[in-house]
Amino acid sequence: MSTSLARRVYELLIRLYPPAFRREFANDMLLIFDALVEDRGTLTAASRTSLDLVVTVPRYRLETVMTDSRSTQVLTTAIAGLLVLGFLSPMAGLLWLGPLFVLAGLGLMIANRTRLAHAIRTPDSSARRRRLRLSALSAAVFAIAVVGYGIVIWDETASSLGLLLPSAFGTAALICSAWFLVAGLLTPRNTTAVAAGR
Amino acid sequence: MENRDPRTFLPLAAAQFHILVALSAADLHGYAIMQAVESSSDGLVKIGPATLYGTLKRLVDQGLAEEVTRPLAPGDDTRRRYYRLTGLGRRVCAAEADRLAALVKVVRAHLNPGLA
Repeated sequence: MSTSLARRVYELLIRLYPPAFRREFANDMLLIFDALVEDRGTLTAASRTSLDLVVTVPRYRLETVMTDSRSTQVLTTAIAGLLVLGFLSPMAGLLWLGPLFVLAGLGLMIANRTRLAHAIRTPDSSARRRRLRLSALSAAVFAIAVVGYGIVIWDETASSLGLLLPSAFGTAALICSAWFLVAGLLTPRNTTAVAAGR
Repeated sequence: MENRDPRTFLPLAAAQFHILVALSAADLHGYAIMQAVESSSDGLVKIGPATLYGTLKRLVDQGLAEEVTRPLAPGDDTRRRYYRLTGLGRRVCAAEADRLAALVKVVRAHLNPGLA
């Protein structure tokens, strides 16, 4: 492999790193690549940087995902997902799986209650409005799903998939609605309330 | 941050300690740190560029190292960034060295009970 091609490939691979890391260190890493090529040759430079890349890209990506705000989002999504699966499993005939998913979701929620409480009590004053609006929207979707379920159930030719879809959407919407309602109601109206609460 | 107890940073990750040891000798740029680490470990430890800068970033964030502007020497590449140990970094490096020295003592006593 020619030196310029190896450098170009490394330059492209650096794009796999999280943007903040790339912005700060991409040029320095290329400088090191050039120095390695000069001292040890292209093959050594390419093998050393490739190995480093394989180890560090997933690690730095994961670190970025697991920053406080992101990890709370991942956590909230995981809990909501487990609860939805818990409600849907019995409908799909997996009776014993439902309680397991619900228990796992509740366990995760209880284990991370401090982080969740902190996330809910954001000083962002628009968050309360946004959460309550999302709750209302989810409630509307739930109502539509209930109507859809009612229509399907009266249709004798309806398939099981036809029944499952409104049930799935309805359950998910109900959980979202309840979740955002609680989160919205617990969100302080302004930053003063948060400061006072701490 | 400078007054923090150095022991709260221990134990250091291997890459962190090697970089602190390299910087304890002089202010260095990235590639020079890689070379110093390789040379001080007899070629056993080879740090890649991303590991180096990821670790340096952590050390800078923790207040153990800092980026430094220094007068250019002949042959210096102006694009290179230099790093140096802070006072806290120096104390943490010494504390980690003490910790490892105590560990080495224990290992020697276990392996050669007669000499302890």
